[in-house]
Amino acid sequence: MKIYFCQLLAFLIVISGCINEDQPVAFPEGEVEGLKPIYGNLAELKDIRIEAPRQLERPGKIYRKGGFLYINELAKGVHIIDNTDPSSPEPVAFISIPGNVDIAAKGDVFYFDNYNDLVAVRITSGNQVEVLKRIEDVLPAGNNFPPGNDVYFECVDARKGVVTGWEATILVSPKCYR
Amino acid sequence: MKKMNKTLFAIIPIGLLLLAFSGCEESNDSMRLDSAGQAGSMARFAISKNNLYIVDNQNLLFFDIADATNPEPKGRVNIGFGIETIFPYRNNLFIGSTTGMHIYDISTPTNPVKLSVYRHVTACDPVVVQDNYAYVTIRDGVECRFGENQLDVVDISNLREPQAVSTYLMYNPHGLGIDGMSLFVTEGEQGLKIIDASDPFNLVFRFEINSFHGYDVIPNNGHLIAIGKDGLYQYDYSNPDNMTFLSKISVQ
Repeated sequence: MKIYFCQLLAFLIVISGCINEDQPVAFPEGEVEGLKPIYGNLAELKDIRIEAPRQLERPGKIYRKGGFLYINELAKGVHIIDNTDPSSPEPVAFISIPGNVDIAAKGDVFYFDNYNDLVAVRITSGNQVEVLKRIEDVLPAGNNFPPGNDVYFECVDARKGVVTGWEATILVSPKCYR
Repeated sequence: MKKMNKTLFAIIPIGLLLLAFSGCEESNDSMRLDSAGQAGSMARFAISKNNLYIVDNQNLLFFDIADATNPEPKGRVNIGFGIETIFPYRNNLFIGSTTGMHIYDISTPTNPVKLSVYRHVTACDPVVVQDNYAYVTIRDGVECRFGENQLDVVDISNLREPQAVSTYLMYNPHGLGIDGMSLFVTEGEQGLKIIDASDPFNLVFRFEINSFHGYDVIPNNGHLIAIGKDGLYQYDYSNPDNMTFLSKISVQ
């Protein structure tokens, strides 16, 4: 019965308005607190490069391969750690991959998400990255809704670029809500 | 149980509507092929043989990587809403979602066939598998409403009819990993729990390390890697009675 109740509650929340328009959400006229998308420049967002090792800030997923560890830095890239001696792991480099969250590898080829693109990358011995293949727009835009719930936001306009984040702002007569 | 499944089946489309607009953003995969690496349970990318599988919020995408340097999209199948994690095991994919665990057969890699769904209340839930049992954590949270906090052990010897064999209350389980008898579950602010899983019907909670925030783990042959908000922690568990701290990389 508890499950039933939860689903019913879910239904009520849906009809109370997750969608932008034509829902009984009261869209206020005038100024209201909310979120607006931060758009990124496409060329910069597709720039994948090796940098000096850096500190962990917001670590995400982890991947182990051979004597190395790969730690995602949320939406920024991947830390490469030499873990031959797990008592003394050595950060060796950082791969800057805007929008990255996931990591997989086969042989010496790595697969990363780079916002909506899937990229196949090889890290060469000279500490360079070679993008072997980029499959564009194969992954969904995960950022088209702001984090959290019960918030007004400025509707996303894909013509302005890729949404890289959200910032608090004062909206005027917003038309989007979740 | 059967009756409840039927009731759920009727109601789930409504819940799914909601999940279209919420869903858990974080997630993951794992694999043990020699030529591939090993991911944590939160992965959304998984490699099985010559194929790369990716789950987005609703779909399973697959790519041929026989030539690793040239991944080729081979198709996608719609799974449902709130898809979060993917765990490849033998000829199957175990896909965690906000409504349950989906089991797919990938004997024909470019034609994944749905075998069953193990349903539960809506919550975030990665899954790992060993032999005939799947271990599923279920967590509530801001983006995973109506959740419980629990660990389910599911008998998958019949992949078409997964059956819960035991359930345990947890604090706030995130990722998990299993290696032989040892099951590791990260518990968010409560760190890491080490569980004896030699009897899947009766897990024994051995001890916990709660000095750090735990998000995901990779256990491998006596060596544990754990990640969380505080950083990366490594332990030696070759003697499961005495986890030995190896190192830590702190966040800035």
